[in-house]
Amino acid sequence: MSGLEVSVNREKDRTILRVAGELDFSNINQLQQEIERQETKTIEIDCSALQFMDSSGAGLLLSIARVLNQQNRILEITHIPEHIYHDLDIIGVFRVLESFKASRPTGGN
Amino acid sequence: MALDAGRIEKQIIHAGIQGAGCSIPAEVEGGDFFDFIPLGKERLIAVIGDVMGKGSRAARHMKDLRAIVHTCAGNNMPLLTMMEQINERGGKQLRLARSFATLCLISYEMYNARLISLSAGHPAPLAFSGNKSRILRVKGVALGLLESYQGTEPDTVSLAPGDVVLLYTDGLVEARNGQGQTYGLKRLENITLANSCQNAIQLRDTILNDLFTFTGRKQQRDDVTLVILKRGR
Repeated sequence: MSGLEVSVNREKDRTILRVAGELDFSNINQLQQEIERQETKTIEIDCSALQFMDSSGAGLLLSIARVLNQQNRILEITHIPEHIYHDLDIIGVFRVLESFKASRPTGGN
Repeated sequence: MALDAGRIEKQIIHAGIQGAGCSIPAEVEGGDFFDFIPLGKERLIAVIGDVMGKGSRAARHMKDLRAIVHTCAGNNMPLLTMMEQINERGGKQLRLARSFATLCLISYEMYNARLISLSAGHPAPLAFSGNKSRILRVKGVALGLLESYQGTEPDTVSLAPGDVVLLYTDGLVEARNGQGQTYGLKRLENITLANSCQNAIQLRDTILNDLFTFTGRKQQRDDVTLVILKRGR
C-alpha cells in the first residue's frame, strides 16, 4: 500500500490541500473525500511534496475539475514536480483543464 | 503472486515486418493491451493501450476498447480517421464510466516501407535506426477525456531493413527496483540500441530480462507492456 498524506489549509475563499507521498489507485478515495468536504469556490491541490501519481490519480483530478467547473468553482493544481507534469502532459490533462476553463459558466458565486 | 501471472505474449510476421509483444499485468488481469492487426497482404496495424486503473474493472474497459479498435481497423481507413472513430465510440463508454484510456496506433505499409503513428495520451514510440534513436513526434489527448480526438498530425518514418520501432506503456519505464529507482527511458533506449541486431522476439525477451534484472523481479504496481516492430532484412 502506498502512502498519501493530505493536509488542509483554509483561507478566505480558497482551500489548499497539500498532498505528499504517492497518489495512486489504492488511495484516490482518501483525496476525493477530502476534496468533497470543501465548500470554498477555489480548491488548490499543492503537489510540491508529491512523489508519484498514476493514471487513477490523474483521472480523479480531472473528474473533480469537471464537477467543480459545472458548479462554477475552480480546481487549481499547483507546484507539480517535473516528472509528474511530464506524465500528465502526455495524457493531455492540461489541454482538458483548459477546455473546462473555456466552457466555465460566467457570473454566479 | 508470481511476477508474470497473466502474462500475454504475441508475435507476428506480416507485410515484411516482424512484431513481438508482451503484457504483464500487475494483478491477475489489467488495463494494458496490445495487438497486431494484419490488413490485406501489405498493411499491418499495431496498437498498444492503457486503460486507467487496475484489475478487473480496467480489464473490462480494455476488452471493450480492444473490440472497438478491431472493428475500426477492419474498415481499412487512414490512421487519423481510425483514431477519431475509436475516440467517438470508445471514448463515450469510457467517459460514462469516468475512466479514460491512452492509445498509440501504428500503421506500416510494405509497398513504401513507411510507418505512420498517432497517439492519444500515450508515450510516443521510439524508432531505432543503426546506432541512432528518436522519439516519434506524436501527442494527443487520451480517449474519453474530450468528445473529439485532439492531437498532432501523424508522424511518419521510413524504415530501412533492420530498423526497429518500440512501443511501451508507462508501467515499463516506471517499474521500480528495491531502492525505489525507476527503470527509465534512457535504460530502455540503451538496451534496445545495444541489441537492435536481434530479431523482434529476441529483443523483446532481452528487454524484459533486463527489466527483471533491474527490478529483481519485484512485484510492480502497474501493468507492463512492450511491443517491438522490426523491418525484415
